[in-house]
Amino acid sequence: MSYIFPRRVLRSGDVMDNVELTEDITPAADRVSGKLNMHNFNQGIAASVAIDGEAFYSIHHYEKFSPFLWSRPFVPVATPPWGFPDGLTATDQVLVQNNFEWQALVDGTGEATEVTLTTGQSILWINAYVQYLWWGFNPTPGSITTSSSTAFSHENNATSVPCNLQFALRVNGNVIRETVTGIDDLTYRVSVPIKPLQQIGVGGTVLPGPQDIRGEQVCALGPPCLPIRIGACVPCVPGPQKVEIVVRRVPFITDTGVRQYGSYDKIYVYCRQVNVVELKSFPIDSVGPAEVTAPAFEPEEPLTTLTMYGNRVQPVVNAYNDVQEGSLARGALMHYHLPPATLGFGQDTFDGTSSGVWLFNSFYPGWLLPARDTVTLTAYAGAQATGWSNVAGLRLNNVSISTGRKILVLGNLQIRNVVGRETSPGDPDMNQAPYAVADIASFALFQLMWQPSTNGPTAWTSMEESLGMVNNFIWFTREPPSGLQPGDYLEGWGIENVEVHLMAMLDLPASATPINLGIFGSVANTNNECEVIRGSLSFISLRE
Amino acid sequence: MAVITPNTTYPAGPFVVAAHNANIYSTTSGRGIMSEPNGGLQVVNLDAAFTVKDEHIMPQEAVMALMDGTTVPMDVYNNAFGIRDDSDPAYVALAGLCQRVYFPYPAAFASWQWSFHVSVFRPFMIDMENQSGPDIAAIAVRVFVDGVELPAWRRNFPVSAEVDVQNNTFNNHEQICPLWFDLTYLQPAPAAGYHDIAVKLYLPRVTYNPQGLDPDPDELNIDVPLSAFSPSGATDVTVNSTVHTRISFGTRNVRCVMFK
Repeated sequence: MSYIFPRRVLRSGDVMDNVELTEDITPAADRVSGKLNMHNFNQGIAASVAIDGEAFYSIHHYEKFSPFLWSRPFVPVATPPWGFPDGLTATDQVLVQNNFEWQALVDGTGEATEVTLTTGQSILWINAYVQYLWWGFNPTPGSITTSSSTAFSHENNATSVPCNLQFALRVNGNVIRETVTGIDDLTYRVSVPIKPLQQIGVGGTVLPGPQDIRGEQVCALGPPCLPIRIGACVPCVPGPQKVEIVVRRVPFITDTGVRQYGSYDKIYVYCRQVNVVELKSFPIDSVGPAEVTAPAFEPEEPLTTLTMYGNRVQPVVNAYNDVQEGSLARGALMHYHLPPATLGFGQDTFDGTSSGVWLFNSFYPGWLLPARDTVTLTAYAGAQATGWSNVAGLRLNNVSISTGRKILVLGNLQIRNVVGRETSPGDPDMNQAPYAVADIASFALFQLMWQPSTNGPTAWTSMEESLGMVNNFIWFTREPPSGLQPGDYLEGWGIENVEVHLMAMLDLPASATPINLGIFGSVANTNNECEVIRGSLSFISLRE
Repeated sequence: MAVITPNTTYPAGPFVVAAHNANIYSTTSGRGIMSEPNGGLQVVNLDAAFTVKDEHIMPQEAVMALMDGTTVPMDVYNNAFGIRDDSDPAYVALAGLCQRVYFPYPAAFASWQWSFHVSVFRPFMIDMENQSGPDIAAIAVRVFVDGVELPAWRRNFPVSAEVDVQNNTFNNHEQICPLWFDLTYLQPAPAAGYHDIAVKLYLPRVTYNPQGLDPDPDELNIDVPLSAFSPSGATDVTVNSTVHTRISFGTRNVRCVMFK
């Protein structure tokens, strides 16, 4: 209810009218009976008013840690190099069907990658994460046909065939089209942009044109190993909601037809998360009514302490001195009545184009505790240390956890040159010197980690569900040999420029000791290394 | 303000008009059941167990979220930009990756997020015969928030093809390179008013200038056999062709989540 004023000012000598006397008091009683609004509250309440943990939003999260199972024997303990990440199954992995249908991510135990919640009219802010791997690196379970170097080998020809995965968010059974990680038209083929400068009719061959060189199918994700994050803001109507991340595999269409899947043509989804922050607009009623009555005066009703004060003025005064949750109208409070909607945020960035790219080559320490939390301070050097290495110094220090909160952590890295330094012997008969080849089974791994700020520099804890991995999928770039002497080769290039997406929801008990957050990286095999070009790390401390 | 204190409890005796009026409306702090709640209620007036519940908050007064996007694929070739050799090329905003939002009040921060599926034809150019070093065609997208570029969020794209400039051969590996990008930027303390994000693109012409020694390199041309253009084309007849770059965007969206 807006500002109210008395309809009259009682003056000496006025006739006491029961209606006018009623109108002196009842508007104030009406207002405090569920009609208080933004006009009634002072902005000063923002400083100290108590806020329900789900007043601004509610947080719903699903996560599953599903590590890669490497071919390195794990008896009794394993040490790097790790070999190949495929060939071994576990019930927490999700096998992608090869049938071009949107598929929920349900693992071997029947557990679905989904979040269910009941909302009012809200907007669902969704961030979801998956890591996938196309099997075929490990030659043991398959039957890889070797080329000039086994480094090029992949059972399912990932060197020339895309894995063609599309992920998307699905809300209440409807795929959110703007989140499909690809192009909905699976036949979409682009042209090779090498443009003839004249009508193609030279040399006696007359063809219609100019025309383009037909390109390849590019409607889905190509590399065999990627961490993917998808987000959306989806309005929803009141009722139960189900948010999933779904996947489908697009058939690879070539000039000669649709490529058939082989017996070992398997894509598994590993770590996965779905985070839904319900941003409330018109929530469901949760507050009971608060009612104050100031009965109307009857004609000839005597004016006594009881009838004036005890029955009417006093209840209203008391109600204003003890405002109940139900005294407020829906939407009574404006932004200036409210404290900050979050408990903090922060961001760190890295731009290697100005400061120099950041190299690392420390070995992945493994997926079991306590090895999983091993951190090394050894910088990039010839010898590979073992442990996670803080990538590009990306970290956020002294993040407060003084009160209960959930911290959404989002990280991004642009990386390249996920290379191994395998050497092809060359071919003396062809006057070809040895040269470096890019080993597509070169893997770089990443994860988010946290530590109490009082911990030492190597005492960190993994947010293991954020584990992401990329491989060297740009295997074909290399410089020509610079000489003919054995070993006189130039290095291969790996211009992946691939985006590493990381995500985690940290839910810690309140503590007076703040925490640090960081992005960490490692590599799987001997002579693997990786360059970080740019990156960012951000966190949002959400109320709970 | 303080708690409301009645000016009179109407004791037995004459009805005091001024005291009654002050009970109803007063310019004195702490008096008047009509005047005091006119913008004066403070935490001290609230019940000890009072907490602000979700339904107490006016929609969009604490958090706002907007999303825009498109599913329409878009191919952009470098010759769409013409030839510009200046050091500050004109980056062009990409449809489906821009958003303008009105913040009705100052926010603590805004979370800008943008996602896109992308496939590029980006050649790795070499001269095998003369053993010259490689050159790579430039492709980058930049992101601007309120007109200011965020350098740490600039992104390059994978090399997806090889071109031997001397032997006039090329190999296209574009099908294994399509990627998905999902990025987040937290804008601190945006003021009330309009704010915008724009992901922008510029593709320069393609030249082969591995050491950067040529101050005015020509656009790269190679002789391509007709068979590359058509199965019925001759393999021994070539047509001079210009090498371009291309970037193809698939599904893309941009989101803004603002927190008071």
